[in-house]
Amino acid sequence: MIQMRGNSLFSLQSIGDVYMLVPLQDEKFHIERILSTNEVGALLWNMLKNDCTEDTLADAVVDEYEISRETALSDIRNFLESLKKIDALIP
Amino acid sequence: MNRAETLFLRCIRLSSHPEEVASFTDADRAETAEVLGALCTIAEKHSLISGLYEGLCLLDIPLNDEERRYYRDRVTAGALSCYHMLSFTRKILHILESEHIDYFLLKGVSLLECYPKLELRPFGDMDILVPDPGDFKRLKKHLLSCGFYTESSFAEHHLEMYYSEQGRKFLLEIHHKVIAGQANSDFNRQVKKIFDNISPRTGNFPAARLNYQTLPITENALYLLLHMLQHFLGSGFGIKLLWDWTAYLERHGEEIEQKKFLSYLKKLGLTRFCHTMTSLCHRYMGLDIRNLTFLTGSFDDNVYLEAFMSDIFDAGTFGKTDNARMLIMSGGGKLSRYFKELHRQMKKRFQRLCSIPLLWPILWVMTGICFLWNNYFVRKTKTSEILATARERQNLIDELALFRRGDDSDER
Repeated sequence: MIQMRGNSLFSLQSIGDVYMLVPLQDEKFHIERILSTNEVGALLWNMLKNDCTEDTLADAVVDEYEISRETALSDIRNFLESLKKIDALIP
Repeated sequence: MNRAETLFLRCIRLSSHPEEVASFTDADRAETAEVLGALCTIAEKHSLISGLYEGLCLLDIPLNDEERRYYRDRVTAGALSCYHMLSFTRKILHILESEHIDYFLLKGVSLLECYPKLELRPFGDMDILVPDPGDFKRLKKHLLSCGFYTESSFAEHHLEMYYSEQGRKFLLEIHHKVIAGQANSDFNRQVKKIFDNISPRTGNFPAARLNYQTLPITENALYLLLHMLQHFLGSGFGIKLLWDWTAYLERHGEEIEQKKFLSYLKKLGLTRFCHTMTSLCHRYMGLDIRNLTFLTGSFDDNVYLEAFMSDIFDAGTFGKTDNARMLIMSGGGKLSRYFKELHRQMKKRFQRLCSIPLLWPILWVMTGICFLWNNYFVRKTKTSEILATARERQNLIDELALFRRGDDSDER
């Protein structure tokens, strides 16, 4: 299983239910590297502070939101893909 | 203050103290939902939508799809603006360090560290104090060579420099003194004396890994007060500055050198101003004042504090939302007050020409004509309305006994 974790230069910022992943600590800050997300994304990001696999992420989402594992895995892959695009994921 | 204003302040307080959510009863929540429209109007007027939305979410106030979309869009736009400003700040700090310019960062990032979430405190520009004339000149020259540009403006105590990047226009205000000169020359001398030759303090904003030079804790507290005063004596200021003062005292209140701070207040005749503003923060924004020993005496005069709070609510962001608030009347008889204000406006409008006293009569006439013309064609406000608002605000200013050295708030 491939381990991954979030890039520590990014912070999860929130106001109410508006969540954003922002490269606040990156000197090469660019607005296009900000990712708007939601409560599920926030949960995943908080887990990605430590090494994770797709399976451990899926376990957490299934537990929390009572959705099927297939749906969870599909959503997680989309989210991880978005993270990769903004360099927020360290493989 | 009406019920919506009270609830607005409670929501703002809650946004920085989520642990206090239990203080809202079911009845409070129901009432908050009822006055949602009014809360939103107040938040827009004071540029505090993010604070309100944070409070509403903590309270689980039901919002329809349209309302939620509206808040989310406004909060996102505000947050993005904040991140842009952080990035701009980083760029300027880098320039200041590489050019070895001695500076003090004012407000902006140096205040964000007092807030639990940086997005709660909107900031639209960056302010730095560069007291050394040589450094000031050198910085201006360097910035111009980096693509910064100036536009004509009236400010006498700072230079406005703009920079455009990624379709955005950034404003950097480079101050050569902490506040604009006030009508009282002794006060101006004392301010200069206090801020001359102070050493910078290294501050940091870990969330964005930023280190910067700023004013020492005690002088920074005084600067925030002076900044409030300057706006108060202009068109007024809104809740944002009061929240800044609350947040600063909550974060640094115990680090303020209280004796030194009190002596500054006495020298400048700002004891009552400081007490009034701090009492407002205590009464309306939940500031704990038990450890603030520079406060002497008590301020329990409801009518007095209500009048100030009402002025702050009316002002919106820096009083710019109300065209009738553009005049202030300094002390003296009625006629002399009008004349002093005319003179002040003349100095503001004709910054260079006013250095030649022989020209003053012409400049007074021109200032008067500009005032009437702008009221009619630009502000579209009756001159009589502007003068009436100025008289009302003058009563508040009189209450503060400003610039009376060695003043004592216990007199109240």
